This record gives sequence, C-alpha cells and structure tokens, in this order.
Amino acid sequence: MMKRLYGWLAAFLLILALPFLLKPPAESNPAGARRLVAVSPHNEATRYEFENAFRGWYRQRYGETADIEWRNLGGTSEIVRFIDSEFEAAGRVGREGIGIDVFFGGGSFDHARQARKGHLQPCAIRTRHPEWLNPEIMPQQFSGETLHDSEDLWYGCCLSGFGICYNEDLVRSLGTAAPERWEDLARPEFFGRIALADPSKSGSINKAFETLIQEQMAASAARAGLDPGRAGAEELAEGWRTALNLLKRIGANCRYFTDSASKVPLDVAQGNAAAGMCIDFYGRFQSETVEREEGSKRMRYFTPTGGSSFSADPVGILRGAPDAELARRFVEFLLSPEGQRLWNYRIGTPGGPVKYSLRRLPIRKDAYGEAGRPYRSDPDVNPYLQAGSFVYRPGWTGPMFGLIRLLVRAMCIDTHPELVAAGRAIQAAGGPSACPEAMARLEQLPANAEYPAALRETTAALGEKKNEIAITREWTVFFRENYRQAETLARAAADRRRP
Amino acid sequence: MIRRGWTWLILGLTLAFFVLFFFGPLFQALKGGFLHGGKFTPEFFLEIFRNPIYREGVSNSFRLALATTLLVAALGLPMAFLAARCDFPAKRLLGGLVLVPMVLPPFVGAIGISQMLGRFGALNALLVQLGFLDWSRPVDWLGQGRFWAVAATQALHLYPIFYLNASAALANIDPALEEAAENLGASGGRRFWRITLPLAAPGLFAGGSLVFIWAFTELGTPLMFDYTRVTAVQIYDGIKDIGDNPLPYALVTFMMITSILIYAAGKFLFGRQSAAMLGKSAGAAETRRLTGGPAWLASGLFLLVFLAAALPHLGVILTSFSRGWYQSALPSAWTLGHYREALGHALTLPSIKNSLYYATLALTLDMVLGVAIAYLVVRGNFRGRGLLDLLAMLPLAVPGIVLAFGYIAISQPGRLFAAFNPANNPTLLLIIAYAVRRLPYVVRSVTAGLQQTAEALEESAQNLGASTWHTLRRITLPLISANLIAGGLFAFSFAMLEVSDSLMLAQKQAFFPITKALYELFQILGTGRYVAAALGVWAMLFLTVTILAANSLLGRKLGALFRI
Repeated sequence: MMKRLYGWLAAFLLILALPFLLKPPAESNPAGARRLVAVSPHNEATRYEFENAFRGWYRQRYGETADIEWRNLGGTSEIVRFIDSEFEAAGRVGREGIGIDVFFGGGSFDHARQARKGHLQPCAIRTRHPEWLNPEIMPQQFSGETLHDSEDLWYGCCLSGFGICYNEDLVRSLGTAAPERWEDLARPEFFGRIALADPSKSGSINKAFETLIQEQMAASAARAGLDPGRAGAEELAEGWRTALNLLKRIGANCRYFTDSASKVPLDVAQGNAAAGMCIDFYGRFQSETVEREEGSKRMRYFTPTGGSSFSADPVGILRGAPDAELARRFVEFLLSPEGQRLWNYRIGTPGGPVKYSLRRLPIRKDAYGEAGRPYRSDPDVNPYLQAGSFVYRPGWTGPMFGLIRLLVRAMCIDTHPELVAAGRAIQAAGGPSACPEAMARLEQLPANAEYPAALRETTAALGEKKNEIAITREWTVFFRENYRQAETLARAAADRRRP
Repeated sequence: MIRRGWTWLILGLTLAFFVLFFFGPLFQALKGGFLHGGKFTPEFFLEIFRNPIYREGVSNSFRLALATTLLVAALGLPMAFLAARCDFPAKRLLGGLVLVPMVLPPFVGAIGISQMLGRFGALNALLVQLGFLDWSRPVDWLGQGRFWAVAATQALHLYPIFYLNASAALANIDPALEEAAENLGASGGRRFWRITLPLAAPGLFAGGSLVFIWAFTELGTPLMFDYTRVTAVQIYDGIKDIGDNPLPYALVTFMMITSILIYAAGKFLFGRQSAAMLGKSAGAAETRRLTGGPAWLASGLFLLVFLAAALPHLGVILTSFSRGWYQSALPSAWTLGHYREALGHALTLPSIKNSLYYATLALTLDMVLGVAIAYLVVRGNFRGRGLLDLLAMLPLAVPGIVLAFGYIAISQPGRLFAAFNPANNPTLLLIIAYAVRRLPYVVRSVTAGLQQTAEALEESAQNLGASTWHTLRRITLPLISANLIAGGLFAFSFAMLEVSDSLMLAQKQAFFPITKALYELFQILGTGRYVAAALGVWAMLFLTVTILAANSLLGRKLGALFRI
C-alpha cells in the first residue's frame, strides 16, 4: 500500500518538476519603469516581439525604461465588448478612462466604431510626423479600405488580406485544376471540400465578401462593353445577382464557415478541405511550416488577382489613457521604420524580430523598398501592387456593408444544411444544366434584396434592431423554402432522367 | 435532523452566494436580450419562437441530448454494474483507464480527433495500408451522419459522469438487501430490475441529468463536426456577431429555462423514488469472479470503451511528438522539441501554479456549498427545497463566456465588487467562477449519496448526544464519502480545464491558468498546435497522476469506487 503511494507521489513530483527544470531565466522588470497598458488580440509571438523592440527603442530614444502590461481577453469581439462595457461603467462613476492606454490589433471596422463612440483620443501623428501621412508612405485609403482615421484617432500598423489556400494532393485526386480565382471555389468537383471564413464575425472578412461582389459588378459592366465607372443600374443589378449566386454556389460547396483564423489553413494542410479562404499570413505560414517540417509542397497559398481586398490592423489610444504620452510614443514606434520592420523581417536580421517570424505586411509603402528586400520573409509580396488593379467604388456597395453581412448569413450560413442539400441534389441530377428549374429556384432573391432601389430602403430599415431581426428572419425563411424546393425539383429532374 | 436555526442560516448563506455570484452577474450579462432603447421588450425572446431556425436548434439540441444520454446509459450502466459486482481480467487497470475522458484538455482535443479521423488522417491511412481503402476515395468520418457522430462523440466524452455516479450508487447499496432477494428466490435479472436498479436510482438520475444538460448545452463537439443548427452554437455565433446581436442573450435565458424544465420533468418521472438504506456496504461488496467467455467479454467492453474514448488523447499524444503527420497511420517524423518549447515557455510554469491554486480553492468552496445545499435539499424540512435543488443545477445551462461577462460587469468601478476587478487581480472571481460552474456536479453526487443513506443513522447519533456538526463529521460525511470523492474529482478536473472564464477573466499574464497558456501557445503560427499538444499531454499526465495519487492517499474509499 505505502509502496504504491510513494510510487504515485514520485510520479507526481517528477511530472511537476519538468516545467521547473525547463523554466526560462526570469526577465527582470526594472523598478520605476513607465508602464503602457495595452489590450490586444495579437498572438503571443507578436506581443513578444513588439514589447522587446519597444523597450530597446524607448531606452535609446528617451533614456528611460518602459514596459508593456498586456491585457489578453481572447479575440477581438470579446475585447470590443469589454471596452464598451468598461466605458459605460466609467461614465456611470464619472471617470474619463478605463485604465487602459491602447487598443492594439483588431480590424479597422472595430477601431472606426470605437472612434464613433468617442472611446479614442488623437495619436498626435498628425502633429509629430505629418511627413508620414504622405500618400506615398501611408495612404489614407487603399482599394476601398480606410488605412487610418482622418481625425488622427487610429492608425493601421500592418495590412492583411484574404486569399485562397489549397491542398495540391487533394485537388489532384479530385481530377480538377488548382483554383485561381474566387469563382473556382464554386466548381462542382469541390462539393463538400471548401472551407470559408465567416463574414458575420469579422469586419475584415465581410470586406472580402464585399470586394468579391464589387468584382462581379465590374465584370458585368465589362460584359456590357462599359467601363466600370460608367456602369448603369442594370449592369450593377446584374452583377449583384451574379455575385450573390456565386456566393450561394460556393456556400453549397462549403463544409463550414468559421471565425477561427487558423482552422481553414490547418484543415487544408491536413486534407480535410481541398481549398479555402484564409488570411494571408496564416496561409503563408502554414504553407512554409508544412514544407519546412515535412518537406512537402502540398499546401499552397496565393492572393487571387483582382477582387482581393487588404484591410488594416490598427492601433488606437483609448480616452483617459493612464499614460497618454507613453501611448503616443508607442504609436509613433509602431509606425516608425523601426516598428514596421518587425512585421516582415526574418528572425535575426538587422532590426528584425529576435524569436518569432511574424510574416505580416507593414502598412508603410516605403517598407517594401529594395533596401529591406534581402531581410524580408516575403520579398515578392507587395499588397500595394497586388491589389492595385482593383478599384473599390464606395457608391456601389459602401452603405450596404451591414446588409451584406446579414444577407450572407441568411443566404449561406443560417440555411447552410438546406443549401448543401439542394446543391447535392442538383449535382446528382446531372448539374445545373440538367435541372434549370431547380437552379432558377436556388437563385431566387427576396424582393427587398434586389439591387439597387429595394436595397436602399432595406439598408435604411436595418438601422433599427427590431427591423434587422425581422428582415433577417424573413430572408432566412425565404432562402430555406427556396432551397428545399430546389432540392425537390432537382430530385424530380433526376427521376425523369432515369431510364 | 437539522436544527431550524441552522437550516435558515445555511439557506440564507447559500442564497446570498447565488444572488451575488450567479444571478447578479447573469442579470448584468443577459439584460441586453430584453432591452431596446433602454426599455424592456420581450421581442427578442419571442423571436426564438418565430424563427424556424431557432426552433429547430432547440429541437436538435433536445434530440442530441436524449440520444447522448441513452448512449451514455447504455455504456455506463453495464460498466458500473460489472465494476461493482464482478471480477474480470485486468479489472483494476481497466477501471482506471476508462476515466480518461475526464482529463482531455481543451483546444487540443479537436486536433486529436482531426488527426485520427480526418480525410488524410490516421484511421484512413491504416485502412489504406490494410487494403480496405484507396486514397482517391478517403472516408470523410467527420462529415458523415453528423447527428449520430456528435451524439457518439459526446457519449464517449461524458460517460464517466454517469459511470462514476452509478458506481457510487451501487457501492452504497447494502448487499444484504440483494442477498435477501436472492434467498427469496429472485433470479439475477429480476433481482437487478426489482432491487438493485431502484436502490441505485438516485445515483443514476444524478449522472443522467448531468449528462443530459451537458449534452443539451454542449458547444465544442457540434462545432467540431460542423453540426451548427443547435442552440449552443447559435448562441456562440450570436455572441461573436459583430453587429451587437441581442438574440444570444435571449437564447441563453431560453436555454436555462428549458434545461430547468427538462430537469424538473426528469426528476418528477425518474428521480423521486429513493430508498434509503440502514445498512451500508462496509467494504467492497461481494464480487463474482467471471471466467471464460463472460470474463473476456467484460474486459473487452472496458477495453473497447477505453480505446474509443482515448482516440482524441492518442491523437494529441502522437501530435505532440510529431514533426509531420499526413496520410500515414503514425507521424512521419518525430521530435521532443515541442515539449522543450511548451514546458520551457515563460507562460507555462506560473500558469501551472495558478491553475492548481484556483482549482483547489474552487474545489473546497464547491465541497462546502455542495454539501450544504444537498443536505438542505435531502434532510431539510422547509418549503421550496425542490426549488433549491433546481437552483443548484442552473449553472450547468449557462455558457461560461456569458457568466464571465457578468463577472466583469459586477466588478466594474462603482459596482459592489469593484475591489475585485479582474483587471487588477482576477483570483477571487476566477475561483468563484470555477466553483459556480462546477457546483452542480458536487450537489448531484452528494444528493444521491444522502438519498441512499437513512436519516435514522444520523438521528441515532444525535439521540446519543452528538451535535449536528459532530454527526455530520463522524456519521454523514463518512457514509457518503464515495459520492463526495466522485463529485470532487469532477469539480477539480473540470476546474483545471475550464476555458471561457479563464480566457476572459485572467487578463494579465501573471494570473493565467493553464488553459489560457494552452490557448496562447495554440495561437502561435506554424508550430502552435504541436506545442499546445505537448502542454496538453503534460496536463493530461498531471491530472491522471493527481487522480491516481489521490486514490492512494484516500485509500479504500476511492478504491471501492473505481475498483483500482
């Protein structure tokens, strides 16, 4: 009895001792250092590199030490809710701030909302470094995306885009060609093998969907022999419908919509999905990891030409920041050439990260110059050139940003089982050409989702929460019913074809 | 019999705890589901009944919970009976091994399943090697028959809850009663249905109701299989929605009410009968030595359940040593480097210390509260005891993230618990959050134990001059110790593996528990999942050894329960 007890206790102590034995030397935080409190959804690697580099930069520049106290609350949605509720509480007791200096990371959608709510204060870049705001260094707009606030309230620090990753083995075994454009994800061979990001949970993903819609609208104008700038209501309406039907077909192929940035590239790398939509640096990193660790080139990532959007990952100083001056210096560091190098330089390069390669794209245009080329992890990637061919037209879909999110949710996510069943039945019947009635039913749109007149009214109505819920329900019921009917019609067509 | 003054004192303290640390935060978190423009509105709540997607979500959740509970009972009851009444080869080892689902850490479990059951995963690779499959047509195990796949996976994760509660109930049965039935000519089957099963009913109901509500509100498994039309996933989607969606809060309220109604109906139908026994099984009850085919069948059942339940664990373990694992039954290249990175990371050691501290104190709080509530429910003689019982089950039906938002709200400046704001130090709120969320396991387990123990034993002690406290300490608690251990094990294990409260409340690195360290490592690009798997394996080992070391320390009682 006692022998066994000692045995278990020894095992217990041995397991407990392992992390003690491997413990890294403690980093000392000198007393009296200024402390920046930052709330951030950035991962541990990004936080580590920026904290380390900021310490060095600050000491060299100001001759004193500064530390960062990170507040980690999970993802962006949790952080945004936390900030909102903390400011509400601060207002109740007459406090100016919430004890946090900066909100670092998230999307421009989230920062713009914080700015509108009055939760941000100027970063002083406008007064301290007006030269950085030159469009050749930090343009304010780029391919329809705002990269920094015109009132100096937030600044994009790096860019991220959405591209396509695919598994070469799986694509080959399906007997099809590798995808090259977003439309390719709708190919019938990919049925059940596509993984998509969820636009209802991220402003950046929603932006990518909006870009895809605008690309189809521009294509529609081109088909009519018009320059997109001269496209009329008819061409735009046709492009809108084509885009939504494309999204439905991709949705029917889709295995899931996820809010997890790492899930799509991982599933594609492991062959659980043939192709998917993923954030650029996740795609590149996963592809590199598979090649380095396994010696396999099966996982590919690329940014499709045309119709690709890039969005900013910003920083903003919160109102009532405990150390506003330190916060301003931190923003200055992030936007300085020194801070920008960390995003894409390789480990150990001059001014680069010391422990983790971040593989992200700096916001400053001059960071893509020839001087840094030998040190960059992705020397051939330049978002300002890649997305240059696409012109975003805010007048086409800009006011419908929220509507697109709700429509895609009702059309593809909430009704996903019915959409997949309809897609499966249409394929079993011999494809869209073999059952035109079923396809026509699948492609039906509710009257209040037609472009552009009805949409204007619907967009206005969506401003009221109760209307939003009623309209979303109405759309959900509409699409669900149509998908069910499309499935029935496709089955009937298949029965008719049988000898 | 508990004195009236004590009853009111304990009741008052328990209710105060619930009001302050459950209903208060919950109200703060859920009020958004009932407010529009600052005024009360039932609109969002009514939307659940108007929208067919939500109605179907509730119906699917119910069917899933029912299927899971039936599968769990079909697995857990024979296993508990065999463990309690029979001897078979390798029983001691197998009895311990079947508890493995209790030690599966979050985040990495999904990796394990995907590595084993993915299209190019280990199972398909094995089938290809054996010639049963061709790589051009791999089986999509995770994408087929999703309803039953989710139910089966949940059952393989949750059966220990039923198994342990059933084992405790069977251990509490006085063998003399079964012997009496046998002497009166009752056959094996008749004796089981007429004597054993009714006597064990409180424990079976305890296990069954916990499993049902867990499965009804489960998020992770349906998400893993992309089976999204269930209420828990709809709540998660709504909370993550960037459009300030009020529906998830209305849905949480609806899910709580539904869970409680289902529990009350279950209690009315199955949980009312209880037969307290004057005699207790003083030691391990007489066991029958199985031989030949039946013996191997019994061992085979345990082994099969263990192998199926340990599939994700095996996936995690192999991933933690792998440098690449694709289209092969085993990893193609091996390394120990992930362990060096995981265990040597600056986050790891402090998070281990924190988790142990939080989980131990949460367990202590759960034990005190759980025994108090169960005692009042079973031994108290006041109106509303049933209501107190329902109250104790409520935390099971509330998603951790909702409660975490509530805790943040009650600790904001100007609020009652401003001094415990997690931005400064989350220790107290984390301990309370862990304790509240795991309290139902202790309450159910202890309630079942008390229902099986005759009050006359306590009355005898008090007639002989023992005080209430002395009686509790020397008579009641020793009699229900198997139930205390079962409930305590769940409370401790699940507190060590708690996710959503930890992610929200532990904001500073110095206060991270191990689950948050796992989350942070998992986020590292490229090697994150391997490093997280390595820390996950360490956590599994640690929990396993803790349970087994506790077994050795606690000695006979736990041994009687697990037969190890």
